[in-house]
Amino acid sequence: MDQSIKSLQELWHHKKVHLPDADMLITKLNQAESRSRHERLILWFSLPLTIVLLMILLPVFGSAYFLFALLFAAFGMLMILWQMHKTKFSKIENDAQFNNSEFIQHHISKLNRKMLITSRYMWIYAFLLLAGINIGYLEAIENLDIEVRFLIHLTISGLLIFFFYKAIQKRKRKNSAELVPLIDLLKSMKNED
Amino acid sequence: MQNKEAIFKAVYTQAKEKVYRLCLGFTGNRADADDLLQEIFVKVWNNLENFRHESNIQTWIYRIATNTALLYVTRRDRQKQRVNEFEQNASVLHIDDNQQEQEQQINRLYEAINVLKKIDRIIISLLLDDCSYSEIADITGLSATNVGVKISRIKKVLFKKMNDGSIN
Repeated sequence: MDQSIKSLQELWHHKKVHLPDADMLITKLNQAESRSRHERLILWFSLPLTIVLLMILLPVFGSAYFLFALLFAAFGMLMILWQMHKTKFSKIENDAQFNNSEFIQHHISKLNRKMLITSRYMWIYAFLLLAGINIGYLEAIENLDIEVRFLIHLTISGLLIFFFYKAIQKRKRKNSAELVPLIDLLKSMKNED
Repeated sequence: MQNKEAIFKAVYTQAKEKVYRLCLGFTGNRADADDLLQEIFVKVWNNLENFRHESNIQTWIYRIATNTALLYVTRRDRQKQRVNEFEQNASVLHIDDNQQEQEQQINRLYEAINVLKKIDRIIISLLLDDCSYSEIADITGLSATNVGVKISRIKKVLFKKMNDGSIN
């Protein structure tokens, strides 16, 4: 090792630092871990809660239509929740398994996956929910005239598509402002080598 | 849980100063270094159960630290693009006239490191903390030869910046 680096090393090691003690940090970490556990529980609790709610509102066991409606909606929700879980709680992953180059690549993929929730999974969920609701309404309004039934299906579908379109566009704008530049910065960092 | 806490305590006591110096070198200011240090040890805590004892604990911690630092600074750079540049630069380590000569030199060193490319900051910080070329290669994912080439280039840039005062 040359002398110039040795002199820098001496400087580097000379820096005196005052850091929090381990016990205080452990208390904070235990609190954060417990909060994170609760957040995950709440996220996953929302699925059975919705299913139970739908089972109360719709006589699912008395009608195949309602049962299908519930299954479609639950499947769509499960898909979204799984994607959210993967992106929101992936900090539990073992970062040390990656060297810096692999980590940058891994993180770019993770951010791209997050963008897919908006561009792909939200629309799949919208389609499943749309199918579920329309199947449920087939039975709920079967006694009405065909024209009225058609109009109700059309209105509900139109409203739902409009709602999802607006929500997805809003999310896309947020992604463009936050995730896309982050991905670009990570890519440029990767190319620094 | 008690065991996890005991292991964490030992790891933290052993590594905190090394990791903090790396944070300072990487971020160039104390406020960010404090935040980054906390973020790193949150990950160490979360990943502690994944640590396989056959690998070197120092390399394991450095990997977590450098990966977290890369992400932290990328996020910060992104915010920097949005916020007024002047406000951001205000948080960089300042050299106070009353500080001792050695302290001024240390701060100059941190400032010089802070203007390097991100991967280069990691390489020089690890080198200054006595890591071998092969350890640095293992942490960064570069080949040992490439690390050697980069180090000689970084040294030139670093000394030039420290000597001619062209930091900032």
